[in-house]
Amino acid sequence: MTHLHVPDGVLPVWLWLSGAALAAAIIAVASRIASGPDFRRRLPVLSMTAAFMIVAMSIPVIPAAYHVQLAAVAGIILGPALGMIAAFIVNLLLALVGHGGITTVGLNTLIVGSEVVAGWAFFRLFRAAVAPGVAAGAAAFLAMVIGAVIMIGVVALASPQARTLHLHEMLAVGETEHHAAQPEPGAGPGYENLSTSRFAALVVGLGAVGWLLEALVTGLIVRFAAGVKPDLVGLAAVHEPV
Amino acid sequence: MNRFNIAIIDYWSTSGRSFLHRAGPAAKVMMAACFVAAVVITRQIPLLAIIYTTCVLLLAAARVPPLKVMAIAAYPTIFVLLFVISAWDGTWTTPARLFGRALAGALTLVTLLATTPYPRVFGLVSRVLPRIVGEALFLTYRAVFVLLDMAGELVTAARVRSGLQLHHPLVNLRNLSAAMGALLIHAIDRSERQFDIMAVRGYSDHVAAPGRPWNSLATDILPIALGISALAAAIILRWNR
Repeated sequence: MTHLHVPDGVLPVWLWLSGAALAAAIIAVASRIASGPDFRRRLPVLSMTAAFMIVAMSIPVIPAAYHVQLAAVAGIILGPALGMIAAFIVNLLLALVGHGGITTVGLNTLIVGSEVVAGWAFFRLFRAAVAPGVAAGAAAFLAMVIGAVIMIGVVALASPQARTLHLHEMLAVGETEHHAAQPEPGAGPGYENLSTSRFAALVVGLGAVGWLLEALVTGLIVRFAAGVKPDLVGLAAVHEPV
Repeated sequence: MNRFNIAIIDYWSTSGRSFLHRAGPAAKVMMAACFVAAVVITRQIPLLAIIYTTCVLLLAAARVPPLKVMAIAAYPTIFVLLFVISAWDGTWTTPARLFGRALAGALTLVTLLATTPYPRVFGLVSRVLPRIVGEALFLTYRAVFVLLDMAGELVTAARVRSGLQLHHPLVNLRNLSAAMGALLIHAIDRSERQFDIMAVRGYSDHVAAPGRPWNSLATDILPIALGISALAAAIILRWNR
C-alpha cells in the first residue's frame, strides 16, 4: 500500500462534502485549461495515462498489499491540469469497482491530484540537475510524502480536537454544552474518536516502504521512457505537458 | 492480475438479462445514490446490514454471483482497518459501524456496475461532468482493458524468461519496472494511433452514447422504491433516536 483510498462513511459529511466541492472547482478550472484548441489530441493521451495508472495498481510489486499508483509518472507526462483530471477519473473508476468510496472521490482526487502536481513540479525542478530517472524517483518520493501529509491533515480535520476548535470558534458553544453533546462510546457516528497521531503513525509506518517502492519504480520507468521516448517525459521540445 | 476485477464486472453487466439488468440506468443510479446516502447518515448497524443484504439478494436475483461480488467489494476493508485502529474506543459498535458503512457503500457501487453496462452509467455521470472529463472517462475505461491484456502478456513474458523470480525481489522490481516502462510507451503510441483512428472515423468531440436513462415503470419501480425506502429509514432513525 503506497497510498490510501478513503472509503465511504469513515469521515464526517461536512468534510467529504467540502472535499467534493473543492475538487469540483479544481477539475472545472483544469478542464477549462485543458479544453484548448489541442483538446482532441490530448484526450487519448489523458485516457491512456489514467488507464495506465489503474493497470499499474493491479500489478502487485511485492507479494503483499503493496502496489504502485504512478501519480508522479502521470504528472510528468500530463502536467498539472490534465494530471488532476486523470486523478479524478482514476478515483471515480476505482470507486465504481468498490476500491475507495464514492462520497470520498473528491477527497481522494485532492490527495492523488496533489501527488500528481507535486510529482510534475519536483521533476521539473530536479531534471536539470540529475539524470531523469533519479529526478523522477526523488519527485515521486516527495510527492508521496506530500500526499500522506494531506491525508493526515484530512483526518486531523475530522478529529475531535479540530471539531472542538471549530465549534468554539464558529458557533461559540460553551465547554459544558459541548461535552454534553458528546455521544457515549460506541454510540456516535464512528469517526468521533479519530486519533490523528495514531493514524499518522499507521500511515507513515505502513506507507514508508511503499513510498520507497513507488520512488524506485517511478525512477526506473522514467529512465526507461527517457531512453526510448524522451519527449514523453518532457526531455524534448515535442511534447509539452498542460 | 486484474486486482479490481473490472473485466468480470463488465462481463456480468453486459451478459445479464435479469429484471435488474433491464431496469433503466437512472433508476439504478438513483437506488445507489439513496443507498449510499443512507449508509453515510445512519448510525444504525442493523440498517447497514439490511442495505448490504438487499444488495446481496438483488445480485442473487439478477444471477450475478453474490459471493464473488462480495469478495470484490470487500477491498476497502484494508483501508477501513486503519480508521478503525485510529478511532478505537473499546467498543465493538464503532468498528462494526465503520466496516459496515464502507462495505455497504462498496457493495452498492459494485452492484450498480455489475448490472448496468458502463456506457449507460457513464452516459448519466457525464451529464454533470465537463466535456473533456466525460469523454476521457469513456476512453479510459476502454483503455484499461487494452492495457490489462498488454500487461498480462508482458508479465507472462517476463516470467517465461525468468525475469520474475520468487527469491530476487530487487531483480523482480527492476524487470517489472522495465515491463511497466514498455507498457507505458506502448500505451502512449497506441493513444496517438487512437487519435488518428478517431479523426478518420469522424470524431467530433463526442464519444458518449448514453441511451435512454429510464426504462418502463415496471422495471424501474423496484430499484427506486428500495432506494427511497432505505433513505427514508435512515432519515427517520437518525432524527428520531
